[in-house]
Amino acid sequence: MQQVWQCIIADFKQRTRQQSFVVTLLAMSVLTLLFFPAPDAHYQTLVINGYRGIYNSAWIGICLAMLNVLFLPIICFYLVKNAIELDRQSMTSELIAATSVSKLTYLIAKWCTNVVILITIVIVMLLSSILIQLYYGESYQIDLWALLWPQLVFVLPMLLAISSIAIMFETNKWLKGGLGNMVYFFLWIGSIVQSVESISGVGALLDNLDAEVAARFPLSQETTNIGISAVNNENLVESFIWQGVEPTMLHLWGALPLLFISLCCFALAVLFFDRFSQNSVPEDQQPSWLSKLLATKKVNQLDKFFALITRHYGFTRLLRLELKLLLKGHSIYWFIGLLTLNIIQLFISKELLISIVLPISWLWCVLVISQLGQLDKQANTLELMSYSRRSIKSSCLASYFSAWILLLLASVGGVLRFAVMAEWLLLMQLCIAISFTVALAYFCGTFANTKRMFEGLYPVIWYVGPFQAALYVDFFGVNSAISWQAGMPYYFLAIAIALLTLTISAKHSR
Amino acid sequence: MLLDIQELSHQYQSGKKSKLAIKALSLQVQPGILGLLGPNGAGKSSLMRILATITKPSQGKILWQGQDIIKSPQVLRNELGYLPQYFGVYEQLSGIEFLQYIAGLKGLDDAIAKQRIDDLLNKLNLTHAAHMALKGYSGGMKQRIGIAQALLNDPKLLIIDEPTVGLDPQERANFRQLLTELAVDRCIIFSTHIVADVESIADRIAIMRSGQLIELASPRTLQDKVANKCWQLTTNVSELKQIQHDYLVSHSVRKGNKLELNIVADYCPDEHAISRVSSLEDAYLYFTRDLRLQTNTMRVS
Repeated sequence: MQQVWQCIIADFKQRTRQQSFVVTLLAMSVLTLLFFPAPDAHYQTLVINGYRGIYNSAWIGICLAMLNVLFLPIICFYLVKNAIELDRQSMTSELIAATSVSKLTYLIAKWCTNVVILITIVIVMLLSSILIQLYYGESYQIDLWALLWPQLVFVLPMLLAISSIAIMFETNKWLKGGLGNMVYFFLWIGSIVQSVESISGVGALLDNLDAEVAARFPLSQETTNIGISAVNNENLVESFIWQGVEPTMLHLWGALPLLFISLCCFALAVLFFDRFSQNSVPEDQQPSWLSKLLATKKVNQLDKFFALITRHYGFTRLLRLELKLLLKGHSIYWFIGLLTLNIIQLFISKELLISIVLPISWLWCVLVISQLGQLDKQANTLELMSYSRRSIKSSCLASYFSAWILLLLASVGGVLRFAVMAEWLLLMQLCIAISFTVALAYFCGTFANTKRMFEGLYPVIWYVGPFQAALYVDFFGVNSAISWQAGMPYYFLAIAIALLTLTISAKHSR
Repeated sequence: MLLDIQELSHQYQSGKKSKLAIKALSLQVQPGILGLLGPNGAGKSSLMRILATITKPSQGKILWQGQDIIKSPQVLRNELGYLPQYFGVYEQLSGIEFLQYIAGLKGLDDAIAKQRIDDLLNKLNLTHAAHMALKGYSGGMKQRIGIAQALLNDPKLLIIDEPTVGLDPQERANFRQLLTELAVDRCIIFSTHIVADVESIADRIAIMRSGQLIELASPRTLQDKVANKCWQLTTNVSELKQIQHDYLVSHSVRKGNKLELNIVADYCPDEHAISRVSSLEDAYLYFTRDLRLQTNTMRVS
């Protein structure tokens, strides 16, 4: 118990005594503010049959819990998926591994710290929501229990589950890196409907609310919406006074699946965790013939060719080396996957090419370009780089364009198709999309100093934009004509230039 | 109290190839200080990590007080102090908070931990910085925090890998003194490149090369083994390159336009060379010398 307690205290202090934690708390307060839009705002977050409750404690408590159940799994996962990584990176793991602390004790402590950190975040959101209630002034009566119980019944079990899932991902060698970040995103996408309907118990509550509004306003035939829904100026959402409900056994039962998931994931984490050891390798482990052939012979020939054509200018030499650095160390199967996607791009229909294959080809590169901007920190070469490079601007541009070339290589099939079909607007949009994606990766890596931010953010933009074709996020131009009409490519080009300029300025000032 | 290493081998992945880091190493460690010497890549750190129960070896057995620690590492962990060559700290914590954390991990009782921490901070001259965040510590101060954490549980087996890196001469001397005091009733394995660090305090010296234990003896015995192989030669500066090519030069001092060289060779390298007293550094260089050089020496002789 003493071990667990000391571990939690030290870990909590280490992770919260950083500026980034304060920034996170502020960001979550802002998010809470966005959860509760002003009565005349152009969007609403919880609309029941065309109505919303007035901002009293009961409504705010329930609303906060529902939105937390929807959005916290994605935000909080990326926030706490570094508990073990932190020890590995700081090399404190070397000291911990030699102590008598057991795998179970260590992981329990890490899990507890994750939970405490997430609870701190929810408490800050809760306090922010009290201020929001007072600010809107639709009800000045603060009912702490009404605010608190939905967080305890619906949100807390989810936080326990997120903490376990994050620990489980961190202990699994396949899931601890960028691949895990992407896998989790798709798990989250898949779980939203499920969560609302059943797992968290929020679904039952939503049904009760629906029934209550239907009983009170039987003539209303509007929709029920949880999440972000646009509201017309002429058709503002009506409000009603909702006195809230008390927690029932049904609500508590709803938490059981999450507790079960939490327990299972934690058990798997204990199973996977290597306790920072390096395992021995069997004597007969040799690289495959395919790997030998492609990784050594063919790649060396290609590299010599590129060296030959780039040798005349300092910038092109740097560009080749940056590209080489970006591509080094990746599995041969990743390159084969990239080649396969390019071949598919050549033979698939134009619609499928734009809406599915090209976005997937870029998603294939996310784990590679997420290295941008923080590779020197990750490899601890910051000081070597600082004194070696002749110009920060040219080295930044070389990094940027190396990733640009990589995304272009991931789209060669599509580019050829567009060129043959003389789809110049599509081609131009593709170039803008590459510029935007790379600028975003570089910006995230530079400012967050971690790969996780881009690995978490890009799939969200990718899913909402190119995949769901939401006009204002569709940087890819899946609906090209509408996108050009709305001027979206110009906006994304401007954003790309702004992000790149900010990144170079930040690198310069450091 | 005994650490018995039997036929230990360890293989690890180096890039796309696997490499044998330790080859059938057998060694018995008794109370006192065992200095572990060897060039880079000799397998010292791999051996340290295995003994610290962090890495599992590919083959072999390690017995602590008769119990197999590969099967039951917990037996040793309770009595182990380990200072790795490269380690990190929680930079947001103060020195005292970090030591409390490690004490917690080691399962120390609060009162005992407090007393040990105060005592160690005092011994390692860190009391003034105890409440300062570790991110403000200098390299030497962090190294001393590392030493303190290793000693927290009053370990029966202390494994320290390059502990004097980053320490100034005074701190190194203090540290050697501390180790001498500690060595009375415990096993200490002290790995280093700096021969002078172990010369005066080690009871026995183990020399490793290419993953193998090539010598195990007291410092005196090792020196005796090369006693008739140490020469001193005064020569012109221009001849230095050729002599370095043909012989093992352990030391050189410039004297006017001449050079006074300490050479280690099986035979007298030159008619002007005179015999001299051997040192542990001569023995270390002789046993870890490049085999190509050995062949050259034989040929020239």
